[in-house]
Order: sequence, then C-alpha cells, then structure tokens
Amino acid sequence: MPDFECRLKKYRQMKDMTQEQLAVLVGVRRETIMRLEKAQYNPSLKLAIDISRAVEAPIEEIFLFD
Amino acid sequence: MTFDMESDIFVSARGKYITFAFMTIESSQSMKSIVCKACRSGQMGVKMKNNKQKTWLLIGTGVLVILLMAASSLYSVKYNEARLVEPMDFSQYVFRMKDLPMIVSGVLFCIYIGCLIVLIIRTASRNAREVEETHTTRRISPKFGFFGFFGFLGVLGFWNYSARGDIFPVFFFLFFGFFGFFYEGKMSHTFMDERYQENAKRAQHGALKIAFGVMVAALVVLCYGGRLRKDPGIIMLSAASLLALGVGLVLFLSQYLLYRYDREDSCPEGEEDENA
Repeated sequence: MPDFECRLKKYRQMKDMTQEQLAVLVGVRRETIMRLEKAQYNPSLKLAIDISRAVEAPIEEIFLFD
Repeated sequence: MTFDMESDIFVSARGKYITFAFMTIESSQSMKSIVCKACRSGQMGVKMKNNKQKTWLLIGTGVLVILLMAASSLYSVKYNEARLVEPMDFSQYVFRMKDLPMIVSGVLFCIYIGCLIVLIIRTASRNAREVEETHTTRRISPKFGFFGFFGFLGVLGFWNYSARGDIFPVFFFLFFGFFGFFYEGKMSHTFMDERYQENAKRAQHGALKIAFGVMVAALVVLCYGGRLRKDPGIIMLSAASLLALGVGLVLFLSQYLLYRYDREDSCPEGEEDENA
C-alpha cells in the first residue's frame, strides 16, 4: 500500500469535475482515479504531472509524501 | 480543455437509448464528436449482428461439410470397399466413379479448413491492430473458458501410458490455461492505462512464481524415495505432465490474478462519486 496522502478529491471538486471527466482528461480509467483518491495507487510521474495540470494545482499539494 | 457547459444527450441507436447524463461539453466540436461516437455505436450494433450471422453461417457450413464427409465415408464403406477411407497405396490408384462422393467431400472439407484458417488469421490480425490503435484489451468472449474442460482429457495420458506406452494425451493439460478466458473475457475491451499495465506485470510475475513453486514441489515429491528410477518412461510421463500443467497454470493464473488485482475493492460499475 503506497504510503502517502492524496488530496486529489478536494482539488477535483474545486474544479467541479467528476472522476470520469478527470479520467478522460489524463487518459486513465475512472477506477484509477478512484484508487488515487483513496491513496491506494502510486501514480507514475507523468500521470501525477497530468493530474496536476488538469486540476491546476501544484503536484506537491496533491500528493503528500512523508 | 475546460468544462463550461452542461447538457444531456439521448441518441437512439437501433431502438436503444444511449444516455450521456450530465456530461459537460466544451464546444460544438466536442458535441459533434460525442454524437459521432454514438452513431458509431449504432453501426457497431449492426456490425455485431452481421458478425453473429457470419458465425452461425460458419458453424452451419462446418456441420454440413462434416455430415457430407460422414455420408460419403459410409457410402464408401458399404458400396466401395472402403476406398479412400482405409489407408491405401496411391501409387496404384485408379479412379472409379464410386470414389467421387469421397473425393468431393474431401475437397470441400479441405476448402472449409483453409477458409477457417484464413478467417482465424484475419480476425487475430484485426484484433491485434485494434489493441494497438485503441490501447484496449482484445475483445473476447468468456465462453472460450469452457475449452478449459478439455484439460481433464490429460488424465487419459496415464491410462494410455499403462495400456500402450504412449504419453501424448497428457499435453491436454495445457487446455487448463483456457480457464483464464473466463477472466480475460470479463475484462474484454478494457482501456489499458498505466495501472492496468502495472497489474498485468504483477499478475504475470505472481503466476510464474506460483507455477514454478508448484512444479518444484511436485518434482520433490516424485523424486522422493527414488521412484523415478524404477521406470524411465515414468520420467517422461512426469516431465510432460508437469510441463503441461505448469504452462496451463501460468496461462490461467496470469489472467485470474490480473482480474483480481484490477477489480478488487473497485467501485461497482455505474457508481460515481458524490460530485457526479
């Protein structure tokens, strides 16, 4: 289990986006976004950057590692 | 891409309604692409019906060809001294009119098998192209998993070895791998994103590890007490069955584990977050 905190849900809701819409934007499945929000999946650097651009938030504020 | 407009679109596709509920659309261009997608899904329905008809035609032709072959074989056995049914020396072959049914059915059978091979190759290459273009898993029916039951025919290898000294049927154990289609079929046409690819590698690794462990454990049990020294044929039988079972196990487990990793704890289909 990845050891990090994910604030993606908060930033996604701030942009008024659904999981499905974000998934389409970053080129993954909705299940992957759901896993990311539960911090159950450690994304690749490319996906993390794509998500950060999609929700227009700094990457280090979305994914918080200890 | 920004989302600034909200709309519901209902598109009729062969009597069925495709609902894009609360889908937000940026521009008319996006709208056009969504409507095109829906139209394509309508065409897909027609295509699927055509494919079904083609499949039944293929099965029907196959049954007809086999019936023709059986009828001409019966005719040959009853009225033509079983010519072209029993093995014969073709260097002294002289054509007889009574050979004609057997020749015609044989040619038809060969043509059918040829067409079948061409169709299989064409479908496989089309599937491979689609997988490459759309980054989705291949379209496959879970029903192919039923071929896995042929794996039990491998047990005949042990009987065959004791009766005739032949171990060939043990290779039917390979068919156990077809049980994996039950799971691959459930994940048919799934978009292969990075999590899917990661899970696929994890599943493959897990399957190989388990199969290797099982094979080593079975070998240790077989070697215990020098049982294999008694009969060299047993070594061949054990090696062949272990190899076939091992490959079958890897094929099945890689699909089963992939399905488990991908679907475990996942949101049921249609369930959306509170923001939807």
